[in-house]
Amino acid sequence: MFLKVEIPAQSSFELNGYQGFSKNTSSMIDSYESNPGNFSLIKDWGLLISYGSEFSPSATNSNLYLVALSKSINSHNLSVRYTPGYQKEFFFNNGQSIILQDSSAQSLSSRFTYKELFGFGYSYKFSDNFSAGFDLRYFTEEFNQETVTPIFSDSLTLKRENLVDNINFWKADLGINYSVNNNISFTLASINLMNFGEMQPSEQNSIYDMRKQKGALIGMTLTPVENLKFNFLYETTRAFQTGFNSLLETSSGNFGFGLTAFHDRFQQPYLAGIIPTISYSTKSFGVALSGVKYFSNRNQEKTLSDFQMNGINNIINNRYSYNKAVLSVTFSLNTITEQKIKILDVNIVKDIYPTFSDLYIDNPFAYGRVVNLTDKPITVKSSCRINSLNIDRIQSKPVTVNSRDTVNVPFYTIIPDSFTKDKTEISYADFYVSTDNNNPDDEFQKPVLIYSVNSWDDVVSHLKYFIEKDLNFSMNYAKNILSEHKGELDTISYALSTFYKAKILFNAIVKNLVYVADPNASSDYVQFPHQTLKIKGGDCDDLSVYYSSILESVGVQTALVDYKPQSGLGHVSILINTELSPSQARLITDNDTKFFVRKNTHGVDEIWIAVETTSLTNFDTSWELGSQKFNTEAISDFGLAKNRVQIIDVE
Amino acid sequence: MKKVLIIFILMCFVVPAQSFKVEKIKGTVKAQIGSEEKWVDLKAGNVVYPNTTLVTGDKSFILLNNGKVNFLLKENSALTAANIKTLTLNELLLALAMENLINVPKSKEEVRSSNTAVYGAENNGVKTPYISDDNFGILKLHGAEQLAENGYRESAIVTAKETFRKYPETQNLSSYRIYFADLLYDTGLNEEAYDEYSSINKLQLNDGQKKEVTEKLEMLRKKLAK
Repeated sequence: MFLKVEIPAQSSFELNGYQGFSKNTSSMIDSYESNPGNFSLIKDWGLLISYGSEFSPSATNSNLYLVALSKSINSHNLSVRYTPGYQKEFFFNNGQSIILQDSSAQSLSSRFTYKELFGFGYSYKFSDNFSAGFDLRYFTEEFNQETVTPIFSDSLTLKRENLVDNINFWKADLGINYSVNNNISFTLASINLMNFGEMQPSEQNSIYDMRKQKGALIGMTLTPVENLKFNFLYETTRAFQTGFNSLLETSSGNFGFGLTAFHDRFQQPYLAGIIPTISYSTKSFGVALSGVKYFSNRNQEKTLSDFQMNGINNIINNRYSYNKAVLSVTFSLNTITEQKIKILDVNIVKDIYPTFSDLYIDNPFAYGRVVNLTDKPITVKSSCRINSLNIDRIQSKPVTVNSRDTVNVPFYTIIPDSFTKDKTEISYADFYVSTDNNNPDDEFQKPVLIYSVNSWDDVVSHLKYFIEKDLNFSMNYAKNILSEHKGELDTISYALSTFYKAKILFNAIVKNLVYVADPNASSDYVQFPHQTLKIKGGDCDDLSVYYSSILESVGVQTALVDYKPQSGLGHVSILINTELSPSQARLITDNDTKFFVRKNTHGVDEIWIAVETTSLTNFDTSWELGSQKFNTEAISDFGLAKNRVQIIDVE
Repeated sequence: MKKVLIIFILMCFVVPAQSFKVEKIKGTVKAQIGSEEKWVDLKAGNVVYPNTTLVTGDKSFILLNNGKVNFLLKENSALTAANIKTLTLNELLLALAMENLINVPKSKEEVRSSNTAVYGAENNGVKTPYISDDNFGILKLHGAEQLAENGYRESAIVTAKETFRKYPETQNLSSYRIYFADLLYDTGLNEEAYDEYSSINKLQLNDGQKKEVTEKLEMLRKKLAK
């Protein structure tokens, strides 16, 4: 009686074969045996049920092997499993018999039961490549041996008794999992690191107690090509498993096939058996059918002395195990939105000038660099909200992003008409990207500069927003002036009415204006027409905006002339469409250098005149000065062709 | 004070760059300076600045000198002094391009149409031009011709183009149109010349003009096809 039963020897044996560890490994919520570190890719909830049969010569024993539940919370994973099928019971005649009074003989028997009842696992994912954890498993043993005890009284009688030992204990192990890259992964774990809560068996049964030899296992998974993995696991107790898993991806799901061969030093032949597995899985459901085929003959009846001599090495895999078939079903319930798209960065390409509100309708103020985290093309909906401007998110047009691709998606904003802040401030913009539902896959926040309503970015074409914003004021003001000159306007020909409107309005408004170079000490500040009237002055852009707005409000077409700075400051003045034809030009001037012919969009030539708005003397003088400057810089010096002078039509 | 006097004296004798001195004058020659509306008489010895427009009457002429060359503006002609200058081919191309650049962009929604009608009997506010006939455009074309004759071919083309546009009645003067189209043809700007001849071809032409324009178009077509 010197033998020792060694359980578990090959700790890593799995009913579904060794699946290995990699980023692409399917759910492994049942795999405490080969995965003490509780490595898991479950994103939220996972459930596994395994049901199987063991085919002994006398009967087929079917059993619910295990039910396992796994839950991931951020980087944490918790799992629990119930293993009613992880048990092995041995029943032997112990070679002794007693003769009963009726002269019949009855053999004495021994029964040994080993069970793993349940277990817990925990792991923490430090990064996509590295996780560590532990498992805790609860075992029971029951050793029941019939013995005969003589009782000496008036006569010698024999009493048959059961010597029973109930033993239970916890076993805890640690493990770490590390993926070097998508092609190679390692696992390292303890075997029988800690055992506690044990009740010692009686001396007579101690030989049947599980042996808790400490050791370690190291596993490696190689993925030379996509969907094909080679696995190898070695235990310091001189056992190993090796095999492969392959996957065929189809539109309806993934079909898998795997094969594991295993060896331990307590079974013959050298490769004790194989575990072929076929599987089918979808995003939320999977089913696998596995078989355990032993190569040695398992049909020979075993005796107690043989059991005592050799023992067993594992509850579900030992020299007394029979071939098995196991059907496993997995469910994944994902109540957490899987992130499909990630914002890498956001680039603000244009700060917010509230007065240019129309500009932002068609032009993104920011671009986000986003990456598709999935293996399929996805449609990305981007939106954003600037805290001080918007209540709701402003949606952008959806963009399709190819698998693993990185693209720039535009972000737009809408500036409410009610925005009137006269101070520049910093606000925050929240950027969102989503895919097939309304919950954003990712969010990003970045500060954005919100200028005051009077701020200007020095782009002359943007002055038209200041013109358009104050058209109501300008119209009322212009109509008041024109009504005072009704008699004068009524006596001139209709053809000249536009010209004279421009002239009357200019002569009226300049009376109370003075040119003030940069009144707000900043070239980036532009006054609205009502402010210019109130302040009674302004610089060239203020005065051009003022005059243009007043003309436009009564239907006189204008254009801004941007004299770009060659050295020093630039300049802005305006052109006015007199609506006269070239043959009518002589009605307003005898000097053909004072007008310019512009073809309108209908292909008709019209007479335009240039007016220098900073010359606050009278219309004729301003017209002369405007003509001279435009002739010299725009025409004679080819300014228009050389882009030194630009005409910007105010619509 | 002495320095100021010296500068003033020098200024009286030195003709500014690109300006001309009136060497000789005959008959009626008027000048319109810059954006002024009024026309003034010129006398020998006056300085003519680039922004001055000159117009000569019947049997009149003016001889200008800028220190390097003389320029004679013959009778019944009009010319702005700034146009008496040599342009490179590139500058000619820029000037031609500006004809389109100055137009209202096509993308803009046009809500107005040109109003050529004159309502009412009153004609208040209408100026009475010094040159009362409608031939000021023709006078300017005469001036442009003389630019060409004096070697300012590119400047002549630009001046003529501007005249045709500002004085639309001159656009129907086929002989002038052909003359300046020929100048354009001579510069080697084939596409621009082809467009010009194509436009002329739509006018009422006599047989000789028709033949000439057709031949030019055919030659240009072959050149452009290469």
